[in-house]
Amino acid sequence: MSNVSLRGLKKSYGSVEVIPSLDLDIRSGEFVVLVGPSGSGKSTLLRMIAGLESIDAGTVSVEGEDVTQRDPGDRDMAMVFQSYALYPHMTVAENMTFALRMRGMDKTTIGERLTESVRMLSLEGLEHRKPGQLSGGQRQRVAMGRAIVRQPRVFLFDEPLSNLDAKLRARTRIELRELHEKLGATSIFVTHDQIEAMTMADRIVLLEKGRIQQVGSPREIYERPRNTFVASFIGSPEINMMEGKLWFDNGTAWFEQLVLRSRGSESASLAGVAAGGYTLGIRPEGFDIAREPLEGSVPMVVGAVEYTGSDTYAFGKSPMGDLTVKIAADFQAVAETLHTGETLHVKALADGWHLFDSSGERVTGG
Amino acid sequence: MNRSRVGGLLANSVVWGYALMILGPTLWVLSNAFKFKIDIITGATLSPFTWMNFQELLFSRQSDFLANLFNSALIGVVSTAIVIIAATMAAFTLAYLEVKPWVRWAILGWALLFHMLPTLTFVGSWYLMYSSIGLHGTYFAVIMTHAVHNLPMALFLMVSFVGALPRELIQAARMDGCTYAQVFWRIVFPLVRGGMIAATALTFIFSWSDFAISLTLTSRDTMTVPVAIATFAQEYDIRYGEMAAGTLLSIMPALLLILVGQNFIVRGLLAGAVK
Ligand SMILES: Nc1ncnc2c1ncn2[C@@H]1O[C@H](COP(=O)(O)OP(=O)(O)O)[C@@H](O)[C@H]1O
Ligand SMILES: [Mg+2]
Repeated sequence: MSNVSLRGLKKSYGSVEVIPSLDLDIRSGEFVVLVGPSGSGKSTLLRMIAGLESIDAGTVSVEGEDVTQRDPGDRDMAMVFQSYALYPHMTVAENMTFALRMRGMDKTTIGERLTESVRMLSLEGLEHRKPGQLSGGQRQRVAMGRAIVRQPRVFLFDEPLSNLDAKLRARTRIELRELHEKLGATSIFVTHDQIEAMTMADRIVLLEKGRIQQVGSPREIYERPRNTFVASFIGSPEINMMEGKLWFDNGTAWFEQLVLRSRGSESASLAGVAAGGYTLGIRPEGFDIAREPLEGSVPMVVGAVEYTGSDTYAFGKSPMGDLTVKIAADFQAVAETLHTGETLHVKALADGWHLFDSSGERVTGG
Repeated sequence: MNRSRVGGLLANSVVWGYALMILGPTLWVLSNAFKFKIDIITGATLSPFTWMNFQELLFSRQSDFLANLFNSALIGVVSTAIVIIAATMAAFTLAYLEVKPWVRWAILGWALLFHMLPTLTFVGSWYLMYSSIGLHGTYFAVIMTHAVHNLPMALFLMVSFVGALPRELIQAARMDGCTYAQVFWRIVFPLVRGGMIAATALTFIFSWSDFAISLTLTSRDTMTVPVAIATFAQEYDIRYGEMAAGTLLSIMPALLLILVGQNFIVRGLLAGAVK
C-alpha cells in the first residue's frame, strides 16, 4: 500500500507531444481511474508509471522514493493488460508464478501464494491448462491472478475489462472493486469507458490530449464539471450543450428563452456574472417537462422516444437546438402515450444547468 | 462448358505445365544416375540399371565427393548457426528495443537491397579481399561469406516471426522482472522456435546449394558439392552419370530439411497468428 506521485512527466513520440507535462498525486490504497477518449495518452501514462516507456522529463515516486530510473521489474508494481498478455507456452500456474520464480522466491511460499490467489479468483482446476484452452473470462482472471500473487505495492490496469462481453464486464467490475477492498493496494485503472470510471473509482482523473482536465470523485466530476469537455465526456446520454446569450430581466436570469434558476435565493449562483455569450449545459435529467408552455420554457418537437426499461428519454428539436430529455418518473404516464411529432415544453430545473464561458471553462451552475 | 470449368482447366494446365518444367529435368537427371554412360549419350529411355556412377563418385581415386559432402555440411551448419543466432537477436532488438525508426528502416532496407543484388556482383571483390589477407580457400572465408550473404533473408523471416509476438507479452515479462536477455530466452525464444526452425531450414538449403560464392572462394580442400558436380563437366568429357549421381545425393539433405521445415513454417506462422 503506497502513494504514487508524478511530477512534471513529459513524453513525446518524435514531434508528437503525447504528455505535455503532468502532475498527479495518488493516495495510498486509493483506486484511481484514468479515463479519457481513445488516443488521449492513458496507456502511455500508465506505461510511463510502470517503467515500460522511457520518460522525457519528470519523476515517478512511490512512497517518496524516486523510481524513475528503475527497471519495470524493480518497482514492485504489477500490471494487467488489455490483451491479458498471458504467456501462451506456460500453464496457468506457471503464468501466475512466473514473476515469483524470476525473483527466486522459495517453492513453499510460491505454492502458498498460488493456492491463495487461485482460490480468490475461483480458478481451481484450471492450474494446468494453457491460456489457449481458457475462455475470455478465465484468461482475464488469470491475468488478474498473475498480478495478485506478487502482492505488489501498486496495481496498474490497462482496460482489463474491454475484451469481456457486457454482462461479464459488469460483474467483473464489481468483483474487481471487492478485490480492491480486500487487498487495499493502490490501484491505477485505465479505461475509455466513463461508466467504468464512474462505478469503480475513488477518484477519477480525466485526461484529454495528455492533459488532466479534472481530478475528483465521480460525484464531483458529474455534478461540477470544470469545462465543457468534462461535462460532455461524463454522462450518458450526453449532456445538452447550447450556445447563446445570457441576459437579465428584473433579477431573472435568461439564457435565450430559458429561465435559469437556483435553489435557495433566485439566481444566486449567477450573482456577479456578466451578461453576454456563453455555453449552457443541461443534462437530460436537468429538465422539467410539461404539456403546456411555462414561463421560461422552450417547445420541443419529439423526434424519437427511447425506453430503456428503467428510464425513458425523448429526443427532439427545439429553438435552442437538438435536445435529449429524460422523462421523469412522475411523468411516466405521459411517456407511455408520447409519440413522434408531439410538442413538449421543457425548462431548466433549478441548479440543473452548468454555465461555461466562450473558452469552455466553468463559470457557475448546478 | 461454363466459366468455372474453363477456369479450372486453365489453372490445371498451368500447374501441370509448371510441374513438367521442373519434373522433366529432375526425372531425366535422376534416371541418368542409374545408367551407363553410353545409354545416357544415346538417349536410351529403357536401359540397363547400374550403381556404377555412385561407385565412381564415392570411391574412385579421381573423386573427392565424400570430402565435398563433408565440406558442404560443415560450411552449411556453421554459417547457418551464425545466421540464425544473429538474425533472431537482431529481430528482437529491432522489434522491441528502442531503436530509432530510421535505423530500423536503414537496416531492413539495406538487407532487402543486398538480397536483391546478384551474388555475382560481389564475388569478385570477396575473392580479392580474402586473397589479399591470405584467407582464400579457407573454411573461414566461405563460412563468413555464406553467413553475410544469407543473413538478410533470415533477418526478414525472423523480424516477421518475432514482430508477430504481441508487444504486451514482452511488457508483461518486463513487469514480471525479466531483463531483456531473460525476455529473449524465456518468452521470445520458446514462442518463435517454429519460425527459427523454418528459417534454419531455408538458410541451410541456401548455403548447401550455393554455387557462385563457393566456386570463387573454395580451394580443392574446401570445395563444396555444387562446385564438385560442376567439375564433372570438363572440356572434352562431360561425366553425366556422376553428375546425376552427385545431384541425387546432394538433394537428399535439402529434401529432408524442406519436409521438416515446411511443417514448422506453417506451425510458426500459426503460432504468430494466435494470441
Ligand atoms: N509507440 C508509439 N509511437 C508513436 N506514437 C505512439 C506510440 N504509442 C502511442 N502513440 C500515440 O500516442 C497517443 C496516445 O496513445 P495511447 O497512450 O495509447 O492512448 P490511449 O491509451 O489513451 O488510447 C496516440 O496519439 C498514439 O497514436
Ligand atoms: Mg490505451
